[in-house]
Amino acid sequence: MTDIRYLAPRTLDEAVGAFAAARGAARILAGGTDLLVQMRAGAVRPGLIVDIKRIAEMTSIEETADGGFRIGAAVSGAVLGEHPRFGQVWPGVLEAVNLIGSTQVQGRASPGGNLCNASPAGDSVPAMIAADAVVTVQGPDGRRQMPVAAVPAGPGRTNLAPGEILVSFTLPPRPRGAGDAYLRMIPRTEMDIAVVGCGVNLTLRDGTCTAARVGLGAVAPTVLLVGEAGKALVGSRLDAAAIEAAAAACRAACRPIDDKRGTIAYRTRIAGVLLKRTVGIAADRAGRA
Amino acid sequence: MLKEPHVGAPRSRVDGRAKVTGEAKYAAEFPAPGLAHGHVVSGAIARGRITGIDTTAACAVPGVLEVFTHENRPRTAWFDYKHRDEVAPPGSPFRPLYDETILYSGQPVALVVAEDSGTARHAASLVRVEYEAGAHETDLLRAREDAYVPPKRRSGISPPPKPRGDAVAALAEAPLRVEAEYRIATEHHNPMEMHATTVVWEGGGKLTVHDKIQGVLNSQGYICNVFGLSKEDVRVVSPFVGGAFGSGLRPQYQLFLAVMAALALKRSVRVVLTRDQMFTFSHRPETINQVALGAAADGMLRAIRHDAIGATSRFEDHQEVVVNWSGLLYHCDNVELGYKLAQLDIHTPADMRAPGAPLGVFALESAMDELADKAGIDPLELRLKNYAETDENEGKPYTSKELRAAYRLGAERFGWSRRSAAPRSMREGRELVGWGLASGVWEAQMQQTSARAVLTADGRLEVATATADIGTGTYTILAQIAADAFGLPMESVTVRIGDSSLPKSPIEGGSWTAASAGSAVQAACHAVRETLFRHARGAEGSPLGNADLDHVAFVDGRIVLAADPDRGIGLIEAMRAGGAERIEHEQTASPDKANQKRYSSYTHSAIFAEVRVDEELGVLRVTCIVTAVAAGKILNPKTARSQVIGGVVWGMGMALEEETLADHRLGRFMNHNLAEYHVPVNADVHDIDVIFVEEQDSRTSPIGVKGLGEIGIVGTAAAIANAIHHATGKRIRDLPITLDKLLERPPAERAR
Repeated sequence: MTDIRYLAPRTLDEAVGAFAAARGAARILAGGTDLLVQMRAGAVRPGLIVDIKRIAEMTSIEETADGGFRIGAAVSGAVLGEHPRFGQVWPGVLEAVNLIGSTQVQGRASPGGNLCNASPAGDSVPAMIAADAVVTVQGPDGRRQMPVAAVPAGPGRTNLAPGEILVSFTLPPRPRGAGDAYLRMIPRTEMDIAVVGCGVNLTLRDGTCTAARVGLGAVAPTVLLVGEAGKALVGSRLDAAAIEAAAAACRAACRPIDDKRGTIAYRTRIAGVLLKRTVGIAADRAGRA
Repeated sequence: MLKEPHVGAPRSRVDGRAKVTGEAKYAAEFPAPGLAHGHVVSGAIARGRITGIDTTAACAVPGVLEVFTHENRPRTAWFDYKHRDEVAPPGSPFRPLYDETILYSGQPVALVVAEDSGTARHAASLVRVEYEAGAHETDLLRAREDAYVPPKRRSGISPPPKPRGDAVAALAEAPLRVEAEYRIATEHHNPMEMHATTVVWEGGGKLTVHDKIQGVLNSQGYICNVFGLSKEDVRVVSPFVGGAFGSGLRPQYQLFLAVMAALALKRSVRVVLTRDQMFTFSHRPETINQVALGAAADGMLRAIRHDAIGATSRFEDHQEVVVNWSGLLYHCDNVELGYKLAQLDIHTPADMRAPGAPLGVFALESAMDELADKAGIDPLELRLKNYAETDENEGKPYTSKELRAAYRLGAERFGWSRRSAAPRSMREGRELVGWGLASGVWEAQMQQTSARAVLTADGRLEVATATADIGTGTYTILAQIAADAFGLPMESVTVRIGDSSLPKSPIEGGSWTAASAGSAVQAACHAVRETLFRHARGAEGSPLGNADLDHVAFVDGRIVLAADPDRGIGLIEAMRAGGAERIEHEQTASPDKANQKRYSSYTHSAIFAEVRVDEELGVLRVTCIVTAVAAGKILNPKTARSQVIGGVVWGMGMALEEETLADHRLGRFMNHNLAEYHVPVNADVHDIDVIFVEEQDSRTSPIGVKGLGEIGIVGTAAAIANAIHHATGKRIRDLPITLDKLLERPPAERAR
């Protein structure tokens, strides 16, 4: 309890070095909105805390030359929300990030932390998956990239190798006619954990859907990329039959648990309802883009 | 002519600034030199015994002073009756660290005391406890088979009245019948402030105790009985309480532990419970209601049967008034009510806001809605048809009852006449809209209370009584009453409460504090006025001459002739004339026994609720509540409105969210934090409109007050459940009405 070391390096190399050297006894601190709660509950007892908020690359937002975005893993929801362009280009991703916790939590919590916390109900993750975001990770053996969907391994577990730190998210450039959206279902109106979360990102050309990705949260041990749902939409004019097929694909993908917030039957049913509503919003945005 | 009195006017809280600036100190905030910190180790099984406690590792942590367990605790009172506090129900009270027996999950099994709280918390995690588990039961649905009528009644709690008429026969013959079972989940109080005690070791065997308690005298009495101390040596000072809602009526285990440790270590000790540990004592008992209504085809009630089973612990018979309301709210000649308890391996439940009433009234008012549906009568009309003019439980008239006016005013404000009768017939966009109503009722009481008033020659007035302000506005209404007695601004009045050295007051509860403490303060002020008036009349050249007290008014710091307000004498001048530096009087106000014998006194409300349901998702919002409250005189419409709103919001929580779920395999509550135990958040709360109905009541208390603390919650959950039925056609009879119940249950399920 009292023998925790705290380190706030200014460079990534330093952070990776210390993190790797601690051999699993260390935890990364971004906003701390999950870590500190887990420590307080006695669920984790790190020997070393590596605070990454002083590393410039991890707290900055850049527009890439090709029109995409690179977001540092420790950028807070509030900072992302104040970016002049990001919310116009990726309104669905921003909505999802901004749904993490309360206003106070938004000042601290980051999409990187949300992803590495590896909760099946993390709000930003389905939207990031739908956006086809790629993460950059850095470890003792250097840098590599992996799709967001490949990061979670199960509740509370990731596929990051020992010593690896999540550095940033890269979101691809947007074609004309692209739009995204995120909706989640929670039992009370705010300050709650998603019972189902649905991210949709699609592109329309002359009313026909040319690309679609669907991320589905809180219905399986990890957030899912529901490929079949995307396929059902592509090539259609988002008619009722296509949307129902996508909803059915979402329901079929569900492998949820029963808990206080929702039963298996409830979550499965809601996955389809949310898909339809989220597609509606994404399509509206695509039509205007 | 006379300035508007403070009483009856909306006034901001006199303690508001102190609270928002942090100047107001709560139990865990009082400093003490050399303060040690205790952290409680909570037990892990529901029933059985401790076979061994290893405290070696905890004791080895630098900074740890002592680890107390049942094996090494200092001797305290041996007999359990010594542990009975002033509101204890019949039974054998829980005695912390008494022996190796485990009575419920989360029971305190050790207290680690250290130089700082972090060390105590860490060391507490190192205490190893071995148990031998026994078979436990925490499921009321199974334990109900063994329910019993409590052999000894709890003081202050009326058992069900004797049956009147023949409810069984009348029910059998009734053309319309509704019979159903209604359940309400276990709920925890969850005040913002954790339960905490700071014991200040004053030396010389004296203790000052800051405890989170709704009655300092209850804690003082408990400490003295348990630890064999004299009242002169124990002063309990709790000027502010950060919400309690009943969890602070009885001294909780942290008080025992903090005092025990302070006495053993001979130094100041603080024990603060964690949010998790807030789920290891008092709660609202899970309750099962069975209601049967019989009515004529026109809706006139012929028979009412209401039987309830409430959960209690193995060691105390906690009782509440759950079913009596069903004999009270409506005129009916054939009524049979029953109330039983079923024992579980849990801590003893406790009073929670309007104990018993929202449980029984949810059942009755849901059943009335079902009857209205069956009879094809508007739910409001059904209630007016069966209106009870007198208390038929006791055969007494009411001191006052303006429920009819409450129905009318509430219905007008809500727009009830625009309701379309059929379920599922109102819709807006993709949402179904439902309107429902219910009645609320709570007893209006006054308790004997003493107060002191001191007027000093600098024109300041201090009033004092030992009562508590748990966030209700007691400081403010006492300042209003006192200021009015002398025509002073409220700023000239100091109110002192929450201190066992002050004049006696009962615990703050039952909605009786305004009536009781308010009457006592007024009586003390009036006694001071009499003395002051004598000085005033005796002053040289006093314009008051031969006037008596009835002919003068106290205005703007002066005593003036009521008929000629220009003639008068200043308060300070009058005191000087009498050579008095201070005038002090203590008075005791008591309820009028003759009135109590002859009349019944209750507050009433009519609650109208609107819900909107997104049926695809099962998402439900309570978009509007109008509650019309008849509660006698309203001392302060601003704090009164806040009180009622708080009750209404809790009623929303009860209807839709609040539920402490047990894992029956482990005999343990699972959702022991505010992330999993849901209460309404701001975004859940939409329009709440509170109407205070004009009601004259001269018999409940000398100041015309009937009390407001509880009435806001009573009936609110029923109104919401009825609105949900109107919106969706689904009758959900077990609270809370969660999304899965709404979505997965078929709409046709009707009461038999």
